[in-house]
Amino acid sequence: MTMTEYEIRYTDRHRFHVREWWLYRDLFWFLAWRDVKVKYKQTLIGIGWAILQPLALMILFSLFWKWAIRVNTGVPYPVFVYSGLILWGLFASGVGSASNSMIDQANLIKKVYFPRIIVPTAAILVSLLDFFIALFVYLALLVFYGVRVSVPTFSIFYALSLLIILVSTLGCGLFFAAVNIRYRDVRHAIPFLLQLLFFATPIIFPLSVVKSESLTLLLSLNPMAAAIHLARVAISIETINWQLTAMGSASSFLLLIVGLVVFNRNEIDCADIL
Amino acid sequence: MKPILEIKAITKKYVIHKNRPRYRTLRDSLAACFRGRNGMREFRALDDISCNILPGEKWGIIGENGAGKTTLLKIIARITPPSRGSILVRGRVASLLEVGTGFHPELTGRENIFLNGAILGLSRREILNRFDQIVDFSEIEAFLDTPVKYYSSGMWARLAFSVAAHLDPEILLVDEVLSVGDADFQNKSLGKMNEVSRQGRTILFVSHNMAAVRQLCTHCIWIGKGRVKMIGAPDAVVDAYRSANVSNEQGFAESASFAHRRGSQKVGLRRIELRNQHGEMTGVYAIGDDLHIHLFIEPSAAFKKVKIIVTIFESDGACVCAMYDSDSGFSLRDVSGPRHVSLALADLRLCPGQYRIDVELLSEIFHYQYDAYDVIESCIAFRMVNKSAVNRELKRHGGLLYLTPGWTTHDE
Repeated sequence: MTMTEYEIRYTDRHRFHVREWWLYRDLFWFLAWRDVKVKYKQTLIGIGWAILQPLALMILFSLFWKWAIRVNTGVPYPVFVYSGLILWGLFASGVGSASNSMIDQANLIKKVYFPRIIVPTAAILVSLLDFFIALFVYLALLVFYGVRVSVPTFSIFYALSLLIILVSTLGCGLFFAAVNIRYRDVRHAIPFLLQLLFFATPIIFPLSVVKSESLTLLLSLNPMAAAIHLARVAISIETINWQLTAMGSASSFLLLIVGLVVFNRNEIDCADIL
Repeated sequence: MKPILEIKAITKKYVIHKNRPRYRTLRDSLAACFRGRNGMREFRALDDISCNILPGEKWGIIGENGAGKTTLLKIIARITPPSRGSILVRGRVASLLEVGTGFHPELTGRENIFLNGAILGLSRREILNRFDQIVDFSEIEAFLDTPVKYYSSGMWARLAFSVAAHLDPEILLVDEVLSVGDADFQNKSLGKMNEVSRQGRTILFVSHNMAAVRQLCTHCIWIGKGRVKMIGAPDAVVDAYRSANVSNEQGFAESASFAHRRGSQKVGLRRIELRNQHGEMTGVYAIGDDLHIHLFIEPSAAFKKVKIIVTIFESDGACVCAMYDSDSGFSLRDVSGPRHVSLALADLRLCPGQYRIDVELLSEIFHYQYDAYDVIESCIAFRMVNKSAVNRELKRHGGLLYLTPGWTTHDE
C-alpha cells in the first residue's frame, strides 16, 4: 500500500479512487473472512444455516403454494421454486447486510481510514458464500429429480443470471448503505421492501402466469425477474425472453451506477454522522 | 528537506442540531424543510490550523478536552474531511486513535493480529513477516489460539498495542494510547515509542500526559478552542499551557465564562465561588486550608430532585476525586427558585499544583440513569501552594495527596 504523496481536501468527492480500492484488497478479504468466521461461530449447525433457510422455504412453498398456482412449471415444483429461492436469497441477504454494514462497522469507520466501499462489498461477499453452499443443494436436487440439463447451456445462462444478481445486489446494497448513514428509517424499510419485491418477482410462480403486456413490461424493469428467468432458461423450462433479459441487465447496471454515485457522495463525511 | 506533512489552513465545521440526536430520521428532515434551518448552529472544531512537519520530527499536540486535537488527527488520517484547507502528505500514514480497533471478541488472538494489522494498513505479507515479533512483544503466546473475549483487559491491550507498535509507517498518529495496560506495559510502550522515534519516523502524539510529551517530542503544538495557541519547543509550550489553564485565580466564575458546557440548562449553574476557612473568596490555597465550594443554581421551573457531582482534576488531566452528593447523604429536592448549595472540604490535602473543577447538575430518570441539566467542564480552577505548617519541598510526581499520617513506633 504505497501512496507516497497525496493531498487531503474536501472537494474530491466526485472521483472514484479505483486504484486505491485495489491497494486495500487485503483488508477487503480480511473483513469478509472475519464476517464468515463470526457468523458461524457459536452456532450449532454452523454453515448448515445456509442450506436450511432456502430448503425450509422450498418445502413450505411446495406444500402449500403448489395448489394455489395450478400451472405447469416444467419441472417438479420443489426444483422450480428452489431455483428462484436461492437466487432471491442471495439478493435479499446481500442487500440486507450491505445496507446495515456501515452502521455495524461504525466503530471501525470512525477510527481508521480505508475506502469505505469495502464495508458493504465485503458484507455481500458473505452472502455469496452462503449462496454457493446452497447451490450444491440445488445441483443435488437437479440430480435427485432427474432434471436433464445441457451443461454448456446451464453454465452460460446461470453465470449470466448470477452476474445480473450480483450487479443489482451491489447497486441496491451501496445505495441503501449510503442512505442508511443519514436516515435510520432504512433499517426498518428494507425487510418490508424486500418482502414486497419477493411477491412482485416470478419466484414462486412462473413468468408465464403474467399475461398482460404492460405488466410484463413493468416486470422487465425488475432485474431480479430477468435473473430468475435466466436461471430457469438454464434448466430449459422457460424459453428466453430477450426483451426481459436486455431490460433487466440494463436496469441492474443502472442500479449499480446509481448505487456507486450515491455511495461515493455520502461516504466522505460518514465518520461525522455515524 | 521537504515537509512530510504540510497542513494548510485547515478548518473543520460541524452543524449542530439543538436538542437532537446526531442522526436524523426522514421525518426530521421533512419537518426541517418546513421549519427552515433555525435549529442549527455552526461550530468550528478547527479554525485555520497551519503548520509544516518535517520528516523525523515528533510533535506533541496538547490542549483541553474538546479543543480539536483528535479532530486534527482524524483529518490527517483521512477519517473525516476538512471543511476548508488542505494537507499535503508525503508518506504512509498509520493512525492509532484507539488500540484494538476492529478486534473481534469471537476471534482468536492470532486471527485478530491479522485482522487488526489489515485494518491498520498492513498487507498480508507484511503481517506474516512481523508476526513473530508481534507475538513476542505482546507476551501472550500461550493464549494465541484463545478467542480474545476470554482475555483480561490487560492482555487485550498488550496484544493491540503490539500490532500497532509494529506498523512502521512513515507517519504515525497516536491518540492517548499510552493510557492502557499496567504500569510495566506502559513503560514498555513508551520505550517502543522512543525506539520508533529514533528510527527517524515522524510521530504526531495527542496527549494529556505532559511528562510524556516533554520526554518524547521535539515539537509541540497547543490547540485551544480549535485555534493554534502556540507552536514551539515542548517545554515552553507545556509551561505556557499550564499557566494559561489557571489564569482565573479570583475564586469565582460566572456562567458567561463557562467555555465547555452542555445539557438542557433546565437547571443551570449561574455562579460558582471558592472560599477558604475565613470566608475569603480566593483561588489560592495552602495545604491544610479548608475549601468551600459554593454553587448558585437557577432552575427554569420547579424540579423534584437535582443530582450534583463535583469533580476535581489536576492540571495534567487526571481525576483527583468525584464527589457525589449522595455519597455524603445529601440530596437537593424540590427546587423551585434559585438555590445556594455549598460543599465544605476541611483540611485540604492536595499537593501543590493547579487543579480545576467540573460541575454536573443531572436529573435522575431511573435508577443510575441520568440526563444532563448542566454539565460544565473546567468550571473554575484553583492553585495549591506549598505554605503549610510543615514545609517541605515537594517534587512533581510525589503523588496527588499530601498526607501526614500519625506515625508511631514501639519496641517489638
